[in-house]
Amino acid sequence: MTMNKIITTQELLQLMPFLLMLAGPVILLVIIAIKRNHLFSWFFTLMTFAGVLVTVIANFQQLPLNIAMLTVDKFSLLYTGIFAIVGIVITLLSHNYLEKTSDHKEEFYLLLVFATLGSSLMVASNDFVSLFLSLEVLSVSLYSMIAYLRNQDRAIEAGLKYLVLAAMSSAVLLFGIALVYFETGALSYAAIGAKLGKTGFTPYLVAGFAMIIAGAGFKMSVVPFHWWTSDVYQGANSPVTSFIATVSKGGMVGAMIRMFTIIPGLENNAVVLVLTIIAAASMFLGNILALQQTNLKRLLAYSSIAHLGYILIAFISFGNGGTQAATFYLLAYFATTLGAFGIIAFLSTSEGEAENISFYKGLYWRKPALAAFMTLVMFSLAGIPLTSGFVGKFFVATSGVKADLWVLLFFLAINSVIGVYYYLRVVVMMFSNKDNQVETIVCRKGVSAGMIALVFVAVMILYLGVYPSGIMELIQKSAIN
Amino acid sequence: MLGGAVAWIAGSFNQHYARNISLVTVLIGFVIALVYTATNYVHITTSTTQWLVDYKSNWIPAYGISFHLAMDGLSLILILLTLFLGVLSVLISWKEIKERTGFYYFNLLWILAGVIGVFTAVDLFLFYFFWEIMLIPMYFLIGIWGHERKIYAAYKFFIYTQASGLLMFLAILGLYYIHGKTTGTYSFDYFDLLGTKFEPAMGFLLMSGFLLAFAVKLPVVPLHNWLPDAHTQAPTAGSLILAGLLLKTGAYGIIRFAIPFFPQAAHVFAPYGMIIGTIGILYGAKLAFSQTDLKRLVAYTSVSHMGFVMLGVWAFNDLAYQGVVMQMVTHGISTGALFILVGFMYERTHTRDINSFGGLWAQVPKLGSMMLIFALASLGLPGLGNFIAEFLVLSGSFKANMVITSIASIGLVLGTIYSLRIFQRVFQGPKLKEWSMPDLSWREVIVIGSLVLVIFWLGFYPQPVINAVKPVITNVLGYL
Repeated sequence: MTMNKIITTQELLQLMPFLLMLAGPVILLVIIAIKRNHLFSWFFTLMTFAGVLVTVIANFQQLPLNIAMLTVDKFSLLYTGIFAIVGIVITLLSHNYLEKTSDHKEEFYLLLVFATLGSSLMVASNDFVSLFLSLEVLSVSLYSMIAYLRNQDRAIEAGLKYLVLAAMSSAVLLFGIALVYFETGALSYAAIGAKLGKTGFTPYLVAGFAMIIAGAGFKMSVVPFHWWTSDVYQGANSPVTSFIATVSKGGMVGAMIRMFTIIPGLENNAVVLVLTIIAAASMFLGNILALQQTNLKRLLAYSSIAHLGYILIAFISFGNGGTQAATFYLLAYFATTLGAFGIIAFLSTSEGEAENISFYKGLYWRKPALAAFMTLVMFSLAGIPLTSGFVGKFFVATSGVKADLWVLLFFLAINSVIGVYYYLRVVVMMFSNKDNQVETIVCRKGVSAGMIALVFVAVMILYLGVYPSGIMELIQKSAIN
Repeated sequence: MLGGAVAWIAGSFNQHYARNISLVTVLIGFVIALVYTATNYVHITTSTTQWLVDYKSNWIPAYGISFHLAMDGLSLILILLTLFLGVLSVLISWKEIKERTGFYYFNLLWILAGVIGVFTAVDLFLFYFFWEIMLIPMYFLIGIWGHERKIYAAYKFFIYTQASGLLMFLAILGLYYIHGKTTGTYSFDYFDLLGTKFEPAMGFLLMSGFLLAFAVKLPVVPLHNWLPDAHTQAPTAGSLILAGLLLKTGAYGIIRFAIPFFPQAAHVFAPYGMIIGTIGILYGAKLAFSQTDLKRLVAYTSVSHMGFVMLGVWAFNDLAYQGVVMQMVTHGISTGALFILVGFMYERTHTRDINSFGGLWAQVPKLGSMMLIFALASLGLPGLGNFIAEFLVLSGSFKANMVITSIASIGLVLGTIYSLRIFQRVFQGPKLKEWSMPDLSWREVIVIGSLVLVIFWLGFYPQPVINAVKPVITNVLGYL
């Protein structure tokens, strides 16, 4: 609708965060074609993300802009800004990691920025067409990122698994969109929402939304669409895994929040019921499966399923501060997850990833700072006060109480206890005695980029845990109206 | 005023160094609290308002959460107890803890700060915050410096308290929400939430959430399972803090929160509460008698003594409440002392098996006489603090429910049996094994001696404690 007018400078400026993420990789691609230089590509990517962040902040106070099936408002800018920060952290962590493991390092950064662009656009989408396109930008970048270490069988396997299942879920999503289109004759959220107000929910529409939720559920890795999670988490290298766990899932949550704000899908009981079952199943299955893991990456994979279940509770209690709670929880979870995978990436060597829990045995007595950091991360995942995880859970629970979701909250309490058990296992491992463990951890002297990233993440976890008001106000200001 | 001291303590132990720093820190805290009490004693006992100190600043205003600390007579007494036992726990760890001392004292002080926070927080969110804060360092204390089955005990302790704590958290949220819906202002503040009206069923449900958390901490009998393991496996200072302080947070919570918030539900629950308390007294005593591990034995006596607290709390009269507060203090002192003494024996012999001791009186008369004093205190001998406490509780509850109280009194007899058994088996009778045991050192004498002084003082002149908490008790009973 808005395509027939010429874009003004003002609009161009407001689109800058996205344009930067588009231009950055293209320029980098040309540069790589001319001359490969890891350090330069790394630095260039950092600058790209920093530029995105700066333009996000500069545009934050602007009025919302609707252009070409995208809405650039505070909400999408907030998510884009968060993704850019996560992007910076992952970039910082990647340098050292790629240096150790891969022979072609530079292209990784292109994919990283593209994938982030995909996620940001998903949150900005106000139309099923743009949603699907940006989802594909994200997915296609992810296929190759997961299989990036192509000399490792496990990475290839994980990439292939993700490819097949993601394609499948895209198909389901498309079919859902088709059903909604069939009933309403519209693809933009606003038009569908208006139509719904008149006609109400027909069976086709409910089926359509169920399929859209299924497609989205795959990206968010909630039960029963979670099967890929553990294998992909384990197979992909740690920086990529942390990206899947954060930006990729966050993009989908943000997109769902926007979609369901404009289309009142949660007024339908069937849709709510489906989401409730998914949330409960995710919490229980995720936590119970996590109990039995001895591989830290798999443990985090299953625990992420449970955490998305918690976020769904906030999502179901939509209007009761639920969307804000979901956004905050997402942010808290980002910080924590980045911390966990950051540590793994930091400790991994060219021989393999530091992914076995037994690897961390007695870590405290060898590397107290790292162990203290890991403890902080585990406590945050478990939702213990002073950490972001606790405040996140508090916000989720508050919105749940307001929406009278007592059963789900009771499940949340039970699952938190299960969660505590396996997170503590990791902590206990680190504090137990070092019996005849060889000094396997080789850490380079001096300050490395990874270390800066870890310190930043630790500060974020504590900041969100002790003084959440600042961020919460920002989130509340950014709500879609 | 003291809120500042808490914050200061909380801030100061980040630089976790050796024992000296921590000793000085806790001592300063203790002295501040003592001086405060001494100078304001008249005000404390005569003031008509319940609250002595009130400090409030915003924390998360959007959700009605503030950093709100307040102290009344009850908090003050318990803070004094906390800091006193805190000083002792540093002293008794002097030699026992040989490795990773920095982290050890860090945890120790952190627990103390958490406990003080629990005793002063009057914002429910903040209360829950401190409630959790004290768990983690305790978990480490048991898990790292404990005895042979430490990991198991640490897990059990943590899971029990965490699970019940989360249910309390849900109850807090429920209370917050119902209050917000009826009045329009959402707040976690204690004073705002007081007097919220409920449907009876809802009130009972919410109270159960609170009670469950407090009952696990206290512990009340069906939920006591974590306690023997945690106490037995913890290092001596850990057992001292567990018995002396963490258990008290449960009793404190019932008096401060569960009853004033839900008076109607409390009335319904009262007879059951008294029955549960009585079961606790008798069951704990019976199990204490059949233990062979000295520490485990003392742990079960805790269960029994806390039964008296549970009994008295639900009697709803000032006599019983005075007894409950006295019991909280004297139990902290006497059971703490027993744990310390057992700890001393363990340091010397590396066993806690009651069957391997015997006839030690001749060899360690000082240790023996101290043990005798506290065994007698534990059985409730007049002249020692516990007697006053148990007497007050029983006479208070007798007014409320004669039958239950009569049965509960049997606990005193059982108490005599298990207390004397400790003494008899360890210090008298034939010597089963030759131990090379030095008697108490000057440091140990100071530790135990101060406890002896306090227990005698409380036995002969308990009035200051009772005076200090009188306004609080009147107030709490006023909500009913």
